[in-house]
Amino acid sequence: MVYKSEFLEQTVTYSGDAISVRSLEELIGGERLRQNEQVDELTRMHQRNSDLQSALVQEMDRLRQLSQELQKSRQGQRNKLADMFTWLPWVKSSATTRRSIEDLLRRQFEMSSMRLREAADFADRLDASKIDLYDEIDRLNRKIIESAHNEETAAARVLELRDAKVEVEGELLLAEPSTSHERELSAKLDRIRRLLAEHTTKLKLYSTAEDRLAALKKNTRQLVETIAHLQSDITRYVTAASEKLDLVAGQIQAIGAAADAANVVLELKQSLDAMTESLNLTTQFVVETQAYFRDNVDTMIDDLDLYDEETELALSRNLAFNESFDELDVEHALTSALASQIDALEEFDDEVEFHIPEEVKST
Amino acid sequence: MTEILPGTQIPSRNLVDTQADLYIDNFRKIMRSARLNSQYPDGRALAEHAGVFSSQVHRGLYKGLEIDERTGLPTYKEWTRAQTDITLAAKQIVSLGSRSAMVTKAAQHPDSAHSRNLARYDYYTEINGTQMAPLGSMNVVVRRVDRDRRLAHFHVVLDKLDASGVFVRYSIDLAQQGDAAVASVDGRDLASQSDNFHALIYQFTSLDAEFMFVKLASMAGLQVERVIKGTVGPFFLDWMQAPAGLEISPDGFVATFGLDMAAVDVEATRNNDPLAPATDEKTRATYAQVASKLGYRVFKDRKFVCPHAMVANVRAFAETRGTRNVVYGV
Amino acid sequence: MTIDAQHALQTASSDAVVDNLVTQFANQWDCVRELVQNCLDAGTTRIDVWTEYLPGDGFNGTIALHIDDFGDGMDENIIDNQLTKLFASSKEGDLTKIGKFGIGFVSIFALKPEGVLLHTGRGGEYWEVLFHADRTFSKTQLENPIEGTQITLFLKGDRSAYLEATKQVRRTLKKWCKHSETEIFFEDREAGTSELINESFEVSGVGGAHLTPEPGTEIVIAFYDEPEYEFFNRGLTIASTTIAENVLDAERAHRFRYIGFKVKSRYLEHTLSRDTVLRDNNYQRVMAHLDKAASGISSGLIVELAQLVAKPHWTPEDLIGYGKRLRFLSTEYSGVASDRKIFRGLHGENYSAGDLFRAWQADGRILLDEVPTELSKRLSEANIPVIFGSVGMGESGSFPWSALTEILLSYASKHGASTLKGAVIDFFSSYRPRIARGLMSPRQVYISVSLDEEVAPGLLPFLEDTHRVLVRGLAKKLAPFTTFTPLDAAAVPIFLVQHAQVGHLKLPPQHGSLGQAGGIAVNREHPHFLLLLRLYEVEKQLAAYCLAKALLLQDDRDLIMDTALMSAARESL
Repeated sequence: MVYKSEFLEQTVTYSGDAISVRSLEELIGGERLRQNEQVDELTRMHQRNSDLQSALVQEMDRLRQLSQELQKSRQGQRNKLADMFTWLPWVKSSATTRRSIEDLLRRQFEMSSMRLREAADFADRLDASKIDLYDEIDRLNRKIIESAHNEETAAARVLELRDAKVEVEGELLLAEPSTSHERELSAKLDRIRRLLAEHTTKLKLYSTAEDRLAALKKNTRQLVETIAHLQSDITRYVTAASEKLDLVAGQIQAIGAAADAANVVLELKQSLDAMTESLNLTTQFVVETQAYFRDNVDTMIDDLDLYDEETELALSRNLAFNESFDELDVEHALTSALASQIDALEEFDDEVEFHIPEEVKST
Repeated sequence: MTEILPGTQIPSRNLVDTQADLYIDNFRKIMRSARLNSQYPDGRALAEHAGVFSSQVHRGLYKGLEIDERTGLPTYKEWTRAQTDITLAAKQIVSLGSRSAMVTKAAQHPDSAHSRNLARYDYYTEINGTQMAPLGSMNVVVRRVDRDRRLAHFHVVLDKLDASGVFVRYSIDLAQQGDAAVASVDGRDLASQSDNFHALIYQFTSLDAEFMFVKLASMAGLQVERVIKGTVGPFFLDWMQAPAGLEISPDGFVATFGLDMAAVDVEATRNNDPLAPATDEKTRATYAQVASKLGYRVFKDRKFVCPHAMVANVRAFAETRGTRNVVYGV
Repeated sequence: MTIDAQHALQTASSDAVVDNLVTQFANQWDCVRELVQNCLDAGTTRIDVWTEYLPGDGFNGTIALHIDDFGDGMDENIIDNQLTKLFASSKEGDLTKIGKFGIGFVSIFALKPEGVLLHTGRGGEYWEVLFHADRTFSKTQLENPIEGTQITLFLKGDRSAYLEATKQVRRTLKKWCKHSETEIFFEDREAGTSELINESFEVSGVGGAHLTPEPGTEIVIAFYDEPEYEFFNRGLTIASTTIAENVLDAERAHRFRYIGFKVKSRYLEHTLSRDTVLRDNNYQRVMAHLDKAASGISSGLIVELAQLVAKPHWTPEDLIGYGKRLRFLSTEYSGVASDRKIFRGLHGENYSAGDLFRAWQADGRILLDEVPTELSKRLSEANIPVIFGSVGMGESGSFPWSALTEILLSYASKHGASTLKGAVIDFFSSYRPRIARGLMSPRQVYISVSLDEEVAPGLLPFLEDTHRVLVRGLAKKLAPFTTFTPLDAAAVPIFLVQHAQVGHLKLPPQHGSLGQAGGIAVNREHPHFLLLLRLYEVEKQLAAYCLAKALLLQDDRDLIMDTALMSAARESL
């Protein structure tokens, strides 16, 4: 005999929790649930409004155009400001509203700042999700390695049991029927068959677990990459927009005030004219009493068409348009890229079928 | 940094770390000591709003504090940044989720997005509900309504961070005959301001009280009683260009608060503001005509807050300019 | 340039008016409030009130009381025409100011100061006005700039008078100015103490709420054992009292007997005597807001009760808090949130008003006990509510059972009878006495007896005849009677019904007909039964009828069946 009796009594140690079909299903089910929740959360973003990203880009663009137009106006070119916003569907005819350009620009800026802040915070939350997913991958890897080791252990045991079975079967053939020896051998064979069934099952389960966990890991990796791309896009955009806003922030008050200045000068001039008979004080008194306009007043008076009612009307319509975006939730909207990539993710594996060997079934 | 329009870039300096925190401490002390009454921007709100700039509050999420070199006050960008964060705080706290989960993850991954999010959560929690200094808002209150004569007396207050970099409050007492130049009044004497009026006042904030008075007085249906412009700033810090004759000691400061009043009940036209530029004779003469027609007189004043050791210096500076001003030591 | 002028007060009649104004307050220190009011009207955002003692010769010295503001200040015109000229007010009818400037200022003379020094600045003019004890004054222009107005009262006194004065000033500030929207600092320079007088606008009672029903009006409201009622305009106290009738009409005073509030409104005014709130249209509007607020705070109370009863273990404070909250709730409960569990059971189960009302509808009783017992446990397991409480000991702090009655009455009036029969009963008989007498302890309802295994032969014919009469008369099926012997000496009624799950016999339900009860058991030792048993020997019909009627008489049940019983007795026997 090659095998020894003690061989059958040997305890085989598998690492981790005991495995069974049920426990495997629960493990995979649990992993799948976690992943589905992650995908659901990201998919939810897909269902929300994705216009905001383009709206943000448009706003930046508008600010830039506005500033350029103001600059062009100062250089004596034709003012195209009024044309910029006439395509807006919200345009309604309104009563004369003498809004300040500075007021409008500042509100625009403050609104853009809010949206940018939300976008930046959202990017950080994506970054955090990425880290969490990498942790997931590590965890899955550990589980995969554990399953692989267990698979090897089970395979070795199965081989040993097979050899033992062959040997005992051989001895049984030679044994005298109805003797105690024959009965002993028969009992041993039964035990070997039972152990063989047990460890073969384990072998299959660990092998299956390893495969399925590997599939989950692959999906998690894809999720990570998708998030990483989205996060990188948003971060790039946020960085660019921040720089733009920073550039504007330092100047926006002055730009607006400069745009209003001509109107202010005109209004004052009219008031003075109403009060006194002298007519040519305007330039002089602004230069001498208002240090702020000292360098710009000449060109401002020349460029009185810088600020006209049409411009002011267009700007307030723009503000109304942008105020409607107050309702949009930034983090819910920055998702068009992610949405299409989620759709491209593969489906998870279906149930793995079990094949229990015929000889095990019959015992 | 490129300028969109020449001459519109605000010169600024970035204070970092302890410099920034010292500035904020001083700023809050100044606001408490300045004893600003209702003619000035709300000192308490300014102090609270400025508290958000502190590195202990934002926990390193922002780098430094940008100060307007013209005025010694934080720039419009900084005030807006704090305003944005305070406004979003409640919502972002909810979005960030469970603090205890963030603490665990931040411990596992120091210097990562998790620790940044945790810092952000604590920052938003601390600033949530902070009172903000208004950067541009107007309030109109009815003082008295004489329905027989169709005369409504209003008290108008506009608060703004002006383009010149100082905080300004315009307080205007006027009466409106008939409808809606300033505001409409409902049955319970609550006023809703007209957009026209708001736009007008908003655009005039950089100008003196006198010009505002003249402008309003020239509008049909309005009788102006007083226009007061209270200003917070400029603050002169030791690294800034101070007016000639005003010495700033190292780490010292001179905070100034201007009062510019054009009113029918001012006794005599007087300039007690050592920083107010003198008007040329010709302009003065023109406006004297207007003033006598409208019945107002102009009083300009300024008070100062500085470290105790500098009080005597500041008083001496005022004397050289021919004024006597209130100086509070801190 | 100095101007020195002596101005005498004008005429004898003016003197009399002035004297009245000087002594206008019952408490002379209330003049401090007037000075604070003037500071607020001047637009200051900070008021510094401070006291110091200036030693003199011997024991007597001078008490200096300073009130400094940083508001508009006064120029000569204002000094001449408003400060020193009485009855003048620049603020008549002006909604943005709350005080009457000249009238208030003169009240400081009630303190009989040796002198009053005033420094003020406005529009580049800086003035000193010194008032003498006889109310004459002198005015001097100053060179050095002054911001706002600084008033100093000089009073003669020793150190103990200084201590008293400081105490009074602080008390006055706390009483009248604690909710001022402007910061008020009080400093005692001798003691070296400094404090902020302002307190946050909140209440500390039970179930509190903080509301802003309209711009300019703010209300904090809560339940109290001894509530306080306070009115403020821009934070200065207009009226503050614990006597509801002083500020509320009779009906509201009753409603708010356990509800205290603070209300701040720019529309409220004080009466001319300044001792209470003016009951004008604005006051009525504020009252409407208060009524609504009071209706709302019972929800908060219900939440607190639900949380309290859910606590597994109670401290003595919890116990007192429970009773207090129930008592408060009973004054305001309108039958809402009827499914919230707010009554504590004895075995971990808690009950809502709806649960108790339904139990009462089924049995006419609500069971209360102070400690868990075997009986209460079995009842609880049988889904019969037994709540924590005590009956028959009168009102107690820990369980006011009248509060329970009131709460159930409110519930009943809102949810009432859902069946026609129930509605008819409700129409004819009031809930109040029925609910009130239904509050009982389990021991009063579930009685320990010795139930006979079978009816004694000597009693059987009598009981069977009575059974027949009842069945016929009520036209209902009834299980055969059993008999029992009471186990203790306490009076036990002539019959009880069985409750299978509980295993006790119990008093029959207080309402509902007998047919709904469990099996009937007769007390064979009851004197009335024994009497009827003897009667049965000679008058079977009558005796059966009388026993049947006796069974119904308990709790006035089905008395209209009396004639039916009589006929049944005649016909069946």
